[in-house]
Amino acid sequence: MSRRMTVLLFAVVAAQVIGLVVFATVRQVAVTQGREVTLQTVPVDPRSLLQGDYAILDYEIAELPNNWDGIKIGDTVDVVLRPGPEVWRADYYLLLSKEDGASYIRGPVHAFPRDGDLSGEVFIRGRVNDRRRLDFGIGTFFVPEGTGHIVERAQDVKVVVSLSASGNAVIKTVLVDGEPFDPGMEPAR
Amino acid sequence: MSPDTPDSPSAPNADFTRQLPAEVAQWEADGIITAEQAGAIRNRYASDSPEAGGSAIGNRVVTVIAIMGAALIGLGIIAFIAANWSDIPKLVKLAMMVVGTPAIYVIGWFIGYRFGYARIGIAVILLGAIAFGASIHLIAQTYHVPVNHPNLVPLWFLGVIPLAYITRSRAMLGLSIILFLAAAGFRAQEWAPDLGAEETVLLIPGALVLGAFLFALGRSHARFPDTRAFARMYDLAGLLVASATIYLFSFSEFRLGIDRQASNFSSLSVEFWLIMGFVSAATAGAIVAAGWPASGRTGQRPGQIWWEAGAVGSMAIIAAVMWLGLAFGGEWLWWVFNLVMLAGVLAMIAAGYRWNRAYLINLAVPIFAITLFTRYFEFWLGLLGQSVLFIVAGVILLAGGFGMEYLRRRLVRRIRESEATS
Repeated sequence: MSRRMTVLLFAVVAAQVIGLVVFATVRQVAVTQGREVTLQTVPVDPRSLLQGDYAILDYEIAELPNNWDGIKIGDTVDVVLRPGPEVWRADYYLLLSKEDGASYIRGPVHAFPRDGDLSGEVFIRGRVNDRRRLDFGIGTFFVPEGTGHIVERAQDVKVVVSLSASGNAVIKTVLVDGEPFDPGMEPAR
Repeated sequence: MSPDTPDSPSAPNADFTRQLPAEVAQWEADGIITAEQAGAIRNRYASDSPEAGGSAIGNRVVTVIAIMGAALIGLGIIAFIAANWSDIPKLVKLAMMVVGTPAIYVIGWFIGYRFGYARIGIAVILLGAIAFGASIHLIAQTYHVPVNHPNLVPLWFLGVIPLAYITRSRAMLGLSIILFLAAAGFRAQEWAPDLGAEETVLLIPGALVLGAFLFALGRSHARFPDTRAFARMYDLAGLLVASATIYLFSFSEFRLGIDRQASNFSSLSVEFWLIMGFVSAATAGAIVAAGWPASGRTGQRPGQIWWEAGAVGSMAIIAAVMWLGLAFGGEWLWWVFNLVMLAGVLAMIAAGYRWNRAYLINLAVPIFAITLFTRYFEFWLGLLGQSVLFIVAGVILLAGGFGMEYLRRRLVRRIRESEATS
């Protein structure tokens, strides 16, 4: 291999390492810098060939209001959250208009008009999936091999997420029957 | 380009050694070289001579075993990640990947380019490429990013494709092509965000455009001595992808199952159409490069480029017809795409025969057999009893398989004979 090719080879290797570090850093910053909220969820337990056991988390706030006409698969929706006694609940839903880039209210849980300004609000951004539920990009919680049943059999599962100012969410931890998930914990009967 | 033998520039590739005897015979007949010189050249490139890099079969076995070893270790790394051991802290796992991946590359470089075990070195570098993909998925797992996230595999592909050209390894190129197609698959969720599962058929013609792109890349690689060893892999990948998309459209069930999708075209994202435009331009550029007359380019035969350009143009037209078919529907879809399938198979056989490319025939014959068998089941499934259907199908398979294999061997033998005598 020529000297030039050797330099190129190690430049590509260096670029790969930088890519990995940047990827990890971006996710870590999202975890540490965001607003922490706790959400109610119901898990199921499949397995990924590449990434092993995980629980699929289906969020209570992912359910769209019943009377919401005109919403389509792929639409982006912001869910404005209000703190409850244990978890944060949806206050109202905003559909992001594709035509003018502005936000406006459709089918709010608590029907009161707003001008779409979300400054000062805590909100999470999701996309309508083909089951007409919202996908927030936090639907997967990876667990050590053989421990998925702990989450699956739990009576109550809540997720602590970190929210960025733009509504993007990253999972911090999962609370299984009130306790942070631990692979060594006893599953509920 | 010497496949998988980066440190032995004198070791010829398979195409070279196959074509050399006929070329030497021609030089001798034309009086360019003497009989002694012809004999010396033949001896120099005999498959077991040191100049040829040792025994050709032995080299291939070493390459295959080394790559299998790398693949097995790679699978072990992926399984390790999948196990998601909680005993290892997050930071330690990340450090293992960030330090371990380049370490594998360095080891591969030393083995291949310092100690001279080129094939083993390439296999270890291939393992590094697998470890890079595993690292991406480990970080994703650590932060609970799902495996189907649209950016994970594209990132893996972008990290691996330069290595294929730097190491000149066909195994690395094979991994890159697989990742390229997988990356397109994962990006598809961004290309059709507003569509349900049924409407994603609108993306299938896009796969044909990607197939045409890969085929055009193969043809342009064939023109340059340094990249010729990659041509066949690109050709095969492109033709396989193109055939698979046309095959999907050849089903009558497929035609009946889709409603007219014209209203959904606006739901395809801007990114999708931009990529289609870029890939189409790149395809045209690759074909122009393939036919551009200049010194230092080899492998061109008279008139071949026009046929290749015609093949790529045909794929583009077929993709456009697919989109039109999806928009307006109609009975004609089934007939058109079955005729296209037949025409494509015949074109591959004709091109294989005309330009001495046995791999085209080896690809075309199974595709024809699969299509024929599919149509048989499609037509008769509701008409014949199941027992009769399977018995007749079995007889057709045996007889058809024999006939196809006979035809394929005959064509390939003729190609070899014509290579030897030309």
